[in-house]
Order: sequence, then C-alpha cells, then structure tokens
Amino acid sequence: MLSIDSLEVRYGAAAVLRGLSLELEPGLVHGLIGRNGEGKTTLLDAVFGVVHLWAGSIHLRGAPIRSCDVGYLQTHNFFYPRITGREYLRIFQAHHPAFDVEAWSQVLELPLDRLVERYSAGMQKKLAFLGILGLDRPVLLLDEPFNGLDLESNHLLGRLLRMLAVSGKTILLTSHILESLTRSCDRIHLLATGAVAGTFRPAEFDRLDALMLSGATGEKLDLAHRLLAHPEARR
Amino acid sequence: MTIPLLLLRLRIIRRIAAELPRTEPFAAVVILAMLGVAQWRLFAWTGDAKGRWFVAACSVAVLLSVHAARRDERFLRIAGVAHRRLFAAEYLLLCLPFSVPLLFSAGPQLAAVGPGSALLLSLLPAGLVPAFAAQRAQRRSPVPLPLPATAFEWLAGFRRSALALCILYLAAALLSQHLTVLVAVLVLVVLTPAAFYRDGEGITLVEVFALSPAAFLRHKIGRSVVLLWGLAAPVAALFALRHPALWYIPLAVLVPGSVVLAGAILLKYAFYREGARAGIAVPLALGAVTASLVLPPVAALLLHRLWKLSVRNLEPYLNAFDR
Repeated sequence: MLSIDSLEVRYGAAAVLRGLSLELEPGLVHGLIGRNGEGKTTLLDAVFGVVHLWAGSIHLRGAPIRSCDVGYLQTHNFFYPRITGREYLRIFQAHHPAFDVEAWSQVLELPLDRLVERYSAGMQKKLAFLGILGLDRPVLLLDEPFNGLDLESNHLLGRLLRMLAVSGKTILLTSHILESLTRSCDRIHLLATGAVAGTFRPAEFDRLDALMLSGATGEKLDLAHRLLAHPEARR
Repeated sequence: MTIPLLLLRLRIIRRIAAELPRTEPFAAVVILAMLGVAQWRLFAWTGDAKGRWFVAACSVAVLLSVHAARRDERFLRIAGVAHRRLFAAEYLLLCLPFSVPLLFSAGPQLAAVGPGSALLLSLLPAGLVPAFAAQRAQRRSPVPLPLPATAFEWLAGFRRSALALCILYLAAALLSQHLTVLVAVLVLVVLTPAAFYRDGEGITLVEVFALSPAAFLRHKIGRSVVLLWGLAAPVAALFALRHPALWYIPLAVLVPGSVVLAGAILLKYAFYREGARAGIAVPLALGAVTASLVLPPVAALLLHRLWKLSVRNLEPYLNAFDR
C-alpha cells in the first residue's frame, strides 16, 4: 500500500498541494485527473522525491518511500542523442539482465536500430515506458503515458498496465483524456485545489465528465460563439 | 507581418542580452569581450586592400552559414509569413558589422558585397544543412559499436567525432616519424572525449545505475578514464615503436588528459539539469580546469570543489541508493 498523508508542496509562496491524502492499493491501476495546474505532476514529483515536502509524508508498505522504489515516466522524456533504441534499452538490461529487450520491443513494435531522436513522439513514449519497465520497481508513476500513442498502442498500453497491476505493482497515472483513464483504471482520483476531491470506482466514472467541466464552461462557449460570429466583439 | 517578426527577433536578442549578465555573468563578459575583439579586428583588417577583401568574404561566409543552417523556413511558410523578405531584412542587419567598416575604408563597392549577398541568399532555399543531415540519418542505421551499453556518452561521442578521430589516427599512422605531429595527434585524441559529456541525459539514465552520488561519479570517471586510455593506445603504441626513447611523452599527455576528462564529467554533473545540454559556462570552466593543470594544487582544489558540487547536485536523484 502506498500511503500519502497530508502532503503539502509549495513553489515559493504558491501552495500547489494542500494537505493531500491518498491511499493507493497495489494490484489496481489508479488514475489521477484534474484541470491544468491542479498539481498532478507535482504530486508525482513528490512521490518520486524530487520536490521538497513542506509537510506530510509518503510511505510504501509502512516505510518512507525512496526513489529506488519508483519507476517514473515523465511527460517529457529525455534520452541521449545519437544512441539507438536498442542501445538505450540495453542500459537497463545491463542492470537487470532478466529484462528481455527484444521481446518487449516486439510487443510495442519499436524500430530498435534507429536513432532515438528519429523516433516519433509516440515511439519515444513507448521507449521511455520500456525503460521504466526495465527498472522493475514496485511503484509506477506515469505522467500522461498515452500522449502521442496511436489507437492500437493506446489500447495495448492500457492492457499492459492492467497486467502489471495484477502482478502486484502499484500504478498511478495521469491523463488529460478522460476516456484513456476510464478504460484503463480501477480507481480515478479527482484533484482539485491541491487535494483529492473524490475517488471514483468504475461504476461512478460517468459522473467525472460533468465534474471536470467547470460551471463557467457554458459562459466560455457563449463568448467563443459570439467571437466567431462577430470578431469585433473581442474589443 | 515581416516587421513585427523582425521586431520580435530583436526583442528576443535584447531579452537574452539583458538576462545573460544576471544568469551567467562570466559567460556574458566573455561573449561581450569576444564580440568587441571581433568588431575591432574587422575595423583593423579593413586597413589594407587584402584585409578588405577578407572582410567582404567573411560577410558572405557568415550569411551563407546562417542561411544554410536555419530551420524555420517551413514554419514561416506555414505561418503565411513573407519569409524571403524577412530573411533579407535579417541578413541586411547581420552584415552591418562587416559593411560599415568597409563603407568607411573601401567605399561603397566592397561594402555592397554583404547586402548584395543578403538579397541573393534570401531568394535561395534555406536550411540545406539540417535537411541533408536529416535525410542522411533517415537513410541508414548507425553502426553498432563494441562498447558497453552503459557508456552511452562514448557511443554518442564516437558517432559524432568518428570522422575527426579517423583523420587523426590516419595522420598519426602516416606521419609517425614526425614527433610534433604524433604529440599533436595524441593531445587532440586525449582531449576529444571531454566533449562527449556535453549532452544531458534524463533522470532515468542517471538512476538506472542504482549508485549513490559519490559511487556514481567514481563509476563514470573510472570507466571513462579506462576508455580514454584505450582510445589513445594506438597512438601511444606508435610512439613506443617510432620514438622509444621518449616513452614518457604519452604518459605526460595521458595523465593530465585523464584529469581534464574527470573535470568534464564533474562539471556536467555539478550543473546537471535533466536533459539539458551544457551551458556556455561549462566549456569555459573546462578551459579553466585545463589551464589550472599548470599549477597542480590549483587543479586538485578545483576538482575537489567540483566533486562536492556534483555530489550535492545529484543528491535529490540518487539519495535512495547507499551503494
């Protein structure tokens, strides 16, 4: 069990996470949803240990979590120029010999002998994901893992995450696309004003759509409609 | 659209000029000094006829290289900008530091070479160099290298410097009877790997080693020094064959070369930011490390300081590992 208790993170004077508490059971895929700037990535950074915690604690199976417990797939993935996909994955294999580079690359259809900088955005995402998988850590944090993936890869990743959860991993992922989360997650946590505003089970996923849209969406659409009809309305 | 874009670019330059002294004051001073010296040299060269032609040729070469290396032609086309007009305006501004001294010393004919080239170049397709590089990279897979996967800086560095290294080895093989050539080649071969560490990797490639910051740095430095000696071995062997009495020269090059390489690695991790390339401060500081070798205690102090900085900078990423 990954327990996050009363977490508080600030950037300067701005509090991003305000007393956030969350329990993540292993064996389930947990999704995190919230509007831009609500602190999704900050929460993942905090669990990984690269931001300073002002207050609160994060424990894995009763002990304080360490970065070596966590595999973290970030939104933007950095590799190293002029190395191929195969060379990148072999770095992970050197430390975890059981990691089968060839077989995994077949699963995600990666052209391993091409330079990584020539990969498409989706391919780079898949390669970075395989690297995280190669680390073989009990907790997986995935920030926007579906970005740039084609339909088949999207589906495949969703199924893969379920398999990983069944094998005992604790998985927390974020996405701006609600459909990607509802398809892959067992629980979805809604983040609002720096805290968890609610946790939803599959039967309740239908409610999320309405909750995600702010009360002002209608007004914004009205304004956009007016602008398109009469561009001078902008003035 | 041309004027707002041009003004936007000038605003970007002004912003950089305003921010650089705050963020990297040392680099700002060096850049300013270099620009000042360059402008002074341009004025000085226009003092004689040969120099004037040289300055005019320089203006064409600068414009040509900017035009060949630029990557924004497609974007500007898509954005509906009159890109040729924008290029012409930019190049006319760019050739001013060359044309103004020429106008005062040589008259309008030579001074018009720069603006004339600017107008001509703006009509030609831009970005041929990146287009050619991209096409070449798409065509072929890179050659696999017999190096450990975890030495990815060396894999990348070899690919980037393969041609230069081949030329150096060839020069050493063909001209090994000349001591000066052999020493120069050895120095260049030994200094080349310091440039392999200029790119930044992602956090994953740092923590995949599962080592504490100190152990991580020891591993990186130890591995790179072994590879450096392997890289220099063919030239050192030629030295031993051709000039056996001077056996100590390869050692005298390799030992300081290893220190410079260690300095390059420490500098990289002292200023490590995920995925970021080394800023201008890093090559300058590496120059300082190299220069400090004249006074070994200064070099030792500098390396010690860099070690401490690197360990502190890596701490947030690697504090979980106690090996």
